[in-house]
Amino acid sequence: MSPIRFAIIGGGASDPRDSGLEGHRILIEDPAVAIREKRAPMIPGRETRNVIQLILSAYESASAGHAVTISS
Amino acid sequence: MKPLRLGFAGFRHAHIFDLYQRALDHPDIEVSGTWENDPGASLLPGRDITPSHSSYEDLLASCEAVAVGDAYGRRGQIVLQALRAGKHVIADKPLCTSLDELKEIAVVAREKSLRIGMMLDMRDHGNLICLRDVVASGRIGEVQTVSFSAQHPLLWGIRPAWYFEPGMHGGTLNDIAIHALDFLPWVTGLTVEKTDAARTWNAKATQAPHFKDCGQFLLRLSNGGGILGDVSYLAPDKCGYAIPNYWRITIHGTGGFAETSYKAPGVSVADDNSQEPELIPPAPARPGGYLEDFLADVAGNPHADGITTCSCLHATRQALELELQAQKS
Repeated sequence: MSPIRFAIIGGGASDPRDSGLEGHRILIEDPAVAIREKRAPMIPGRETRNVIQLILSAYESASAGHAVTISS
Repeated sequence: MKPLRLGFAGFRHAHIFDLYQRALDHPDIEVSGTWENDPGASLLPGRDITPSHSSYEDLLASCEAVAVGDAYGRRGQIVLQALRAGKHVIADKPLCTSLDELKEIAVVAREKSLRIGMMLDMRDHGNLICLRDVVASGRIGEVQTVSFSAQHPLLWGIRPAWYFEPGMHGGTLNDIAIHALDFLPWVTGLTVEKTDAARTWNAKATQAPHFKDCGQFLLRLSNGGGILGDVSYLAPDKCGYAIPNYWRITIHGTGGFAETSYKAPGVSVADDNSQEPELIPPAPARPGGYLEDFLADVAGNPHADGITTCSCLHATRQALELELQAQKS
């Protein structure tokens, strides 16, 4: 099985081009490896969906001008 | 100049002793007397103050202006009685606890050409004066976002019992956010146009479930920017006034940021050209500035950018409306 390779660059804070990618690398690598290893990813899809739902609810609230209940 | 005869009505919150001492020391003020509805239940025991008048009516007859420090829920009627008797008023905050009372206060004050001051002493703090200077200098550009934390310690069992009696406190937003509603327009040069969201809830004072000790809100500024505020009573009891986020105010503009707090050694500022934040030392403080503003207002020469009758009524109305909106949410 060939390894999955990701580049790691920089760690600068004042120039976004120098932002470190280590955190992202792990997040991208893990689900790919999880598929190959037939195991659950570090962050389950349900949790990711909840975060996206929360963000979309915030946009909906801002647009509608009232509180939005987040369905679980 | 003939000294202003100032009578003191109510000693239920420690704030009022600051005004009392300043009044005693002020060459343009004569303390005409003191009155307390129930001295035993007040904060007077153990202090060198004995009420000189046995009724509020007698106190009113002795003075030209009244300083109000009674329990919050009684202040509105005490203020109204003073105004109806033709007396100016300076009050600890909050001035009152309902919009109906405030409306009446505004009407009577206007009809009788009387002045209202409040102990909104955040404007007198050197860090806040410096923050205002930084914003006015234009260094951080146009103010767009303000976030502040003014968490207070709950101090259950230490605060006066009336604080937690139903109907006496008037709400966390009305109590604490009033300061921000007063000083943030003064600091930023912008007005608060709208409440986008406000909430209060009970969390720590579980012995008094009606007492909503947590309060947060989102306000919109006149230029479209916003204010995020937190005035909850969750600061640690023993050091709540000393922690770094006690009255921490962070302002971001289109060209930089500025931040300070009550205990900070100054104001941290960085603009788009800064390699790192710069600490600007506090401006000279203005101890008792709120009292000087009141005296100037009474004399008919209100200070430019000072606390005035108009600014007190305006900030109080906004705080009460904020409280109301939170109750509805």
